[in-house]
Amino acid sequence: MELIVKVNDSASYKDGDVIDVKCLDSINFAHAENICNPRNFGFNTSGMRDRNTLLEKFLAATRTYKFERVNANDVRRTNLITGEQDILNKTANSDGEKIHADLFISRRLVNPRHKVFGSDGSEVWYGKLRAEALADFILPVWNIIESETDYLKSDHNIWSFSEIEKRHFACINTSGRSYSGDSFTRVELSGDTVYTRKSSVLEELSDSDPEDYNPDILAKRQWFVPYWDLATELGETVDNLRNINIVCDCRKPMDEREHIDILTYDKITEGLI
Amino acid sequence: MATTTVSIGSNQSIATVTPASSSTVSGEYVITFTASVSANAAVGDIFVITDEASFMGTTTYLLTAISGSNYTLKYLNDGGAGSGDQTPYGNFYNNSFAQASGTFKRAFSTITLFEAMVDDTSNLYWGASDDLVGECHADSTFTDHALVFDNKRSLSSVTLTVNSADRHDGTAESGMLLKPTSATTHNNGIVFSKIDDFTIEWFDISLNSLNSGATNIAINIDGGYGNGGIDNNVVRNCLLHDKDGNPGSTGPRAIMGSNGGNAAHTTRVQNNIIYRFDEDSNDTTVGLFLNNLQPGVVKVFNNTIYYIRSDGSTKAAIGIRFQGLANDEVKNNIVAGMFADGDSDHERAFYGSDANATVSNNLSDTTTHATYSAKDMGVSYNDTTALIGKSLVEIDFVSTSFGSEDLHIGDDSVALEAGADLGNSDNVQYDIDGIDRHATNVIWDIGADQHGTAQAGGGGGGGGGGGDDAGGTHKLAPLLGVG
Repeated sequence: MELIVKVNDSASYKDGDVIDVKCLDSINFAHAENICNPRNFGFNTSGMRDRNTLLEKFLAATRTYKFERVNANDVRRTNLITGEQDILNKTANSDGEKIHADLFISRRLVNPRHKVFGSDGSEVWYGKLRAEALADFILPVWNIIESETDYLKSDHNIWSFSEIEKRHFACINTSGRSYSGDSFTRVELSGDTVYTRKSSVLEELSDSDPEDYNPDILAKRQWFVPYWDLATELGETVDNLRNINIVCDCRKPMDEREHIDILTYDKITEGLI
Repeated sequence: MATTTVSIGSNQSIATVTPASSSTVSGEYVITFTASVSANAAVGDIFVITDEASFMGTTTYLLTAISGSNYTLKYLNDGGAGSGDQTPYGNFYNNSFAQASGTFKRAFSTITLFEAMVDDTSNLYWGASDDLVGECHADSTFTDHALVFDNKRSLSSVTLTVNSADRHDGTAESGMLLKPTSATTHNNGIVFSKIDDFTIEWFDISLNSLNSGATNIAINIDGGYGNGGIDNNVVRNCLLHDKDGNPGSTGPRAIMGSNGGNAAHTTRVQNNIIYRFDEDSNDTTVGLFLNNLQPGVVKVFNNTIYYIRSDGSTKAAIGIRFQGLANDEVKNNIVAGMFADGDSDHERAFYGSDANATVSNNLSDTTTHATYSAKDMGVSYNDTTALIGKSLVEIDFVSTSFGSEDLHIGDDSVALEAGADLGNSDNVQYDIDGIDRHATNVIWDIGADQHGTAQAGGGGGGGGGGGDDAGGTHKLAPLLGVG
């Protein structure tokens, strides 16, 4: 898990606020998408993408539906998770679903980023990035990349913060613990443990508030890292972190990371709000 | 007012290239390189170069223009090296004392960090009163949530947009995609504007990973009642789609206006496609929920809204909810596929509270109760320009198939050439593909897609036209990169 932390107060953030968070799965997936980006792949003589390429395998592993044109009018839809199939065409089915295949495909092909595979009359495309947790499919995705390219998942475990970000914020990573008796091993954190660190503090709603009332934001971030007290743990001085001329990166290998409870604090629990 | 563009994306190694020449124009460096630069490099990226031979400093520049093989770089920061001369060519050396190479990178890796920098500073990377543009690239899927823009310092405006090469083609996941994987605060929104002069455009926002989460709003505009109100917010050319489940006490809304407004202030929602907002547990669902901005003015033009479903016998499915005050305008919108339980009048394509707005050329389908059709809108507008009671066959969307939706309209659509000409103010003329209806002088269609090519009888900018005919469909070349 990575955190990027505000250094110095700004208009609505406070010094030490956890601005953004990244879990390992999302870091791995972003790198995979950069590698499998359509702009890295060419077109065949039909103006489409070749079949069975890394790009198609990536989409098959990350999308919910596969669409295959089977004749002039019909398109076969396959749910890649359940295996269910049906046929779609210009006549609406009982759910009101229809497709004008010619029109749909011709419109896609004018997009230089299009992801239509195959050849005229037997086009294939994919739809809907899977909604499940990335943990459910990130390993197969990287298995594909590692078998098709020289890229290794192990080289893509940190978020690519920009130069500007590393000058203005503190990049930190942290860990959880898996105990066995009194000993523990450091483990990656995921899910709500990660994302709650980015949450805001909101006013409490009362029964008299209207249904659509959106609560005031009392603090833009609930969690903070008191980096000014953690120079040893972070391996970086406060002066360096507060100097925008210095690129700071406090991220460490897993076996050196501090536990999340050592680095992050809840403003409410700490009585700051 | 100067405009500064900064890029947002996860690609931090776009191109590593070696400067070949340098000249100075208006204090910026115009550089050529020894080899061609990847087309992925774009205005708004940063160029980072390190001197490894003498002063050891790392210097950062902002790419402000590309003209052929000339790249204009604006100096940003030298890491405190204080070397004086910041020329990228002939000033930075590698370990072999040859010209060092540098790397183009995105300026910001997430939208959240861009927002935090807007909140932080006015003049380190952009001018204090600039029009600031954060331009997203489809390097990978953005997963930002709770993007609260609540302070823009002294900037004149803030725009969130998408680089022209990475924009959607009117269908989901065809370009830049924002798909949060963790929930946003209920009733706040994935993108939440609380500032004046804010535009969000060309975004593709999917709520599909939030079906079990509390997120119920894609874009929220806070009218700021009691704080003077916020003015001049625009949502245009966006795709907002796929919210299912039960987000909590309030049902889904694609675009929400909240907390009242100011009668002198305006919010524009135009040329967006919105589909599949689907409540599972006893709540009303709304495509555009804008009446809470009153007495602020809303302009709702050329949106396409399809498949809004509520749940519960007392709850409604609503396409466009607006107040209907005298300065409000609702024109050229398609609303179809309203699904609600209970009484038939719970299916409401258009729902105004007052009958004083200017409404015209809207379209509603057979799923809508007559009282809430494009003609009467719940308050007896009796608009004779409205098209009502149209079937999905007559509307002729290209695809309503789950997972492959395409709400462009087909050759036989009743929406073809049935819209009002809205001119060219506030970019209303650009359809969901970037086609300029005004410059091409076409008769306007209803909805976000301009499919018809018939020429208007007069006026317009003339010219345009021609271009690619995508399989006998569009005859008009999309104008990407519009302002």
